[in-house]
Amino acid sequence: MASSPTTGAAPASPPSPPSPPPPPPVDSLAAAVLAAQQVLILRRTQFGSFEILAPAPAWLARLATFPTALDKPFPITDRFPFLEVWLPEAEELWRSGTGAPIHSSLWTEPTRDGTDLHLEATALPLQQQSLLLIRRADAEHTARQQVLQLARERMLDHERLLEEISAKEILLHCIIHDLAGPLAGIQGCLEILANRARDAEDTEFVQLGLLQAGRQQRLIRTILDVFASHDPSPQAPSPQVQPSHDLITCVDDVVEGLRPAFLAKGARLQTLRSEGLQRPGWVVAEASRLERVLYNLLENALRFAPVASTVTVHLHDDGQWMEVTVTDEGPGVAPEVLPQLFQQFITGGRWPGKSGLGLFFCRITLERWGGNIACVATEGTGGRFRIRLRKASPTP
Amino acid sequence: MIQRKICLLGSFAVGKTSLAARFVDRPFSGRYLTTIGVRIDRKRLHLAGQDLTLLLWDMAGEDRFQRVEASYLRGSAGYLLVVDGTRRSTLDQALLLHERAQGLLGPIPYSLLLNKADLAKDWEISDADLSPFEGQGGPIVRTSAKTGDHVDEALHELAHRLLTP
Repeated sequence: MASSPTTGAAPASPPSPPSPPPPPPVDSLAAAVLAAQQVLILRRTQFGSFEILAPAPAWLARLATFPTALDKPFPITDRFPFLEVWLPEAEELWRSGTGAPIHSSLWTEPTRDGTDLHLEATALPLQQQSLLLIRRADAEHTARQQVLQLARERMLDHERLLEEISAKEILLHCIIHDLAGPLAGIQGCLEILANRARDAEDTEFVQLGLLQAGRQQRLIRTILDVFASHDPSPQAPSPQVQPSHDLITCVDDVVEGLRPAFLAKGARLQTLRSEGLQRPGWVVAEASRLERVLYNLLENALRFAPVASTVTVHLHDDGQWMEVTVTDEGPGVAPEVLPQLFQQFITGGRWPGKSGLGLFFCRITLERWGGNIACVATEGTGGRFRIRLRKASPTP
Repeated sequence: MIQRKICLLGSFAVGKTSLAARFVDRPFSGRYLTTIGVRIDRKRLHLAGQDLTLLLWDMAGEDRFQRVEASYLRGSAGYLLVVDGTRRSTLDQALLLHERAQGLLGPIPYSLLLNKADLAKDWEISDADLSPFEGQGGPIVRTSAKTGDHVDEALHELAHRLLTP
């Protein structure tokens, strides 16, 4: 037998125990049973080497590490290097002399014929002998491999799918961005036409065109902002940024901007302020996004407001918060819609013809500033949405 | 005969088993077959006038389903960190494994293998991404288990360092 080569760490060599009694003989029937089970049975000698007890199973001769017959004790880690990491645990069991058998993890050894052997070791103290059993574990190996393989293939598919979605989102982002380009030109032309209008009818049509162009511009910005909310790149606005803006002025501007649309539908738009509300009403918000949040809420109210009804915008100072409540006299929000109301792409049914991003945009925008949005009235009582914004000092 | 243990570490499906197959002249299979536990191969080399046997421990890939057993690293003289160059996340995983191995084994020789170099059009790892590995003493090698590019060279280079006192 060649002398033991070394790895980085020497095989575990615990203090030699007192000489155990000689191993009991293995009778021929037992030996035949063990051989049929393809189990290699070894006994640890008092010097830490191992000897084969029963006839060796056929698979042993196929291992590249067993070039010769082993009729003498040998260092086990020379033949099965994997056991180097598990033997300390087995040695503890053998030293104790009692206890349930312990099993190693599975490992794989190549054979001379290019196939693999999947093995498992068991340590067993029996009749004062330190026994080591090594058996083929092909069935366990196959079962575990099938489960893990499937899980990992699914994970790879999932990763690929995410990449595809990401690529499509980038494309969509580019398309939407490009769609916004001509809009500024259209708005400019409409404004020129507004100055040259010949009569009230011309003015009405041009104003309608401007209103729709403004809506489209806000919709595009909303979609781009929603993209930005998923984008962890440095270009996305940091949640730490705390801009401030005058909420009262912003509400007034939006109400004035939408008044023609309400008039066209035959609905009334009114603003109420709680007693003692002080101007300016600084809140943590960024001007253009806050404006779009309010436009979204008021356009929703307008869509569901019946003819000759009133939409009320109520401003309220609630200590550390400023609140805006938008109330309409429409059908309200069905209870089953409420849990998903502020999720993205909630469309259809009572919300036809919309992108499904308006209320989602409101929620993520307000939450970014530490505020929130809620639907505080349900079906049958009209729609009522309340937004809350943290009070702030003016941005220097 | 000198014998040294080398571990192949990395996330799942980065090509550790395919690289090990190349090291020992087994045929390359393009089919991904996940490794259970560890697979041990032997590679004999004659370097600097010495016979050397490398015990190649091809460890199961680490992910949310399976963790590399720290005890398996015991006794390693060096290790190969394997990354799939077409999956950025496998570099992060390699960095975690590298830190764990260095913590357990100390500053032993290692190499970082950016595998699947044949899939250049799907490459996701930039030079900037590799900055955590700069100045750590391990070479960074682009390998392809499929074509065999730089595979033997990477192993020989590490083996040389194992023999250098």
